[in-house]
Amino acid sequence: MNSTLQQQSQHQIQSLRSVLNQVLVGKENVVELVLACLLARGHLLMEDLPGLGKTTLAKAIASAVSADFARIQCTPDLLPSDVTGFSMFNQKSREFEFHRGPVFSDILLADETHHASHTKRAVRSDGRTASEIDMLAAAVGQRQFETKAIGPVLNLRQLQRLQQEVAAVNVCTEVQRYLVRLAEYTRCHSRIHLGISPRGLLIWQSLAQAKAFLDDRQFVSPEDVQQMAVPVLSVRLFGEFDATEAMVADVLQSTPVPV
Amino acid sequence: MAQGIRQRCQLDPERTIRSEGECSQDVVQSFLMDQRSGPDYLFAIATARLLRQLGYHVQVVSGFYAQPQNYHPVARQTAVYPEDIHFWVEVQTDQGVAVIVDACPGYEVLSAELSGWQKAVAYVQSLVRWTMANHTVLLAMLAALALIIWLRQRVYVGLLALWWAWPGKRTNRTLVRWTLTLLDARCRLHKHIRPQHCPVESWLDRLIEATPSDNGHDLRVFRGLVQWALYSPNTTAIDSHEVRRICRQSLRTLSRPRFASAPIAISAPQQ
Repeated sequence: MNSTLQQQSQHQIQSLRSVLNQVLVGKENVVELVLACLLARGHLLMEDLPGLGKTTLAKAIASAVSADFARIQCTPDLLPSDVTGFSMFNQKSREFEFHRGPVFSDILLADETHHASHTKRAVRSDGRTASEIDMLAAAVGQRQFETKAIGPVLNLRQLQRLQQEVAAVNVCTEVQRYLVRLAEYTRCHSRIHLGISPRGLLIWQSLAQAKAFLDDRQFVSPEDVQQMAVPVLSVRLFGEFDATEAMVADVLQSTPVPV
Repeated sequence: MAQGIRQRCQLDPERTIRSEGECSQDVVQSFLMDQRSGPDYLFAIATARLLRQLGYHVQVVSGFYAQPQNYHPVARQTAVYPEDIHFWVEVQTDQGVAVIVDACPGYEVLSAELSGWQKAVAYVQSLVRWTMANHTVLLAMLAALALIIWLRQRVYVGLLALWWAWPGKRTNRTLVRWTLTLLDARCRLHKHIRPQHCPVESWLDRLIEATPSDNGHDLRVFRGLVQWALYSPNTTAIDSHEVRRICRQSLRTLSRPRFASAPIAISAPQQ
């Protein structure tokens, strides 16, 4: 990549990081993971006690990237039309008019998903019930741009360019094989009932690319893969109750790194 | 006796005993004392005469000699030609066995084919004989080998260091990889073995933390170079002199005495 463009991208990333760290003080690691998820075009599942800044962080992201923000309060009687929108009959025009739901926003926060019914809830794969689970969907680039400025650091077009740069971060064959070996190990681990899927593996690779990009590198190293292991695998491994992190550590320690 | 005749006389197929003036002399005496060369039948006659003098029952035999160089390994046969006609001597023993004696230089008597066990015994015997004859050299070699095995890691590190310092032309990527290999070998020498799950960057971080020095910046640059050399496809031109300087500086900072003195804890990867 052009070095000037790379410097510009890193400057934008640093600005975004600074803004988010000012909003959510003392959680630099969380902000890094959120940024990685945003750049990897992923969905973010945040689990924490009430009042510790999950909604604030979501709003801050939306403001920082000049994105539309919408929030769904997940309740037991939540219906699909509450998310997608609905068609209402206009008596004047005598036609049905579609009213967009919150899913048509750039940044969508599904708050307190543990209150929603099972069909709509983002349930942890290991069956845990958290005190509060929020689902943040960064749907940037999936709709027309509406650059509404709310103290922005980036606009959506710039964010989309950053996401394209992240997708272009190189993953060498050795690292890809390392990822495959890790995935294979999760599938034959005695304490893991169902290992990571191919889609999960691709998401893991994307997050590793984002991590490398956040560290100002244009290539992924095994360290990136390892650092993204817990965030990716903790919601994707079906195994023993409350032992996900131990299982992930076991998977990492049992798989040799390339070189 | 046959060996004595071989050493004394030479084989000359064209030469014959001259008749004039020498006829009065005994042919064998003329061959052994004067001419000292002649065709194979003279060797056979001389051998027979000497053996008879010693009291053996001897007969001169003629036949074809199977030249070893004419053996065909695929056909497993030896071709015999008219020029292979040859004379030798057979000594009759009291047991009725004919023992072949051939004093002619360049002709060997084939021994009886040995069984597998006999071959093994013969090999062992020859090995023992050779060992006894060369025991000093052998002991020195064994001692040297044992020393090399005992100091193999030090030898390996020394060889790597020599190879690293070899003034051959190398790419930056190769140089950084060799530097990393040398560092790894040094760590192994002092029992600081990198765990198989530990990424090289984390390992370098711990090495750098465990060896405080004034060259922290160079070490950090070296860490980045290692990442680049191992995982980046980018072949952007980097100043090779600068790369060599950083590698050399890193090797000096992370030197063997430093490894030996400072214990380095390398634990599981941090999450």
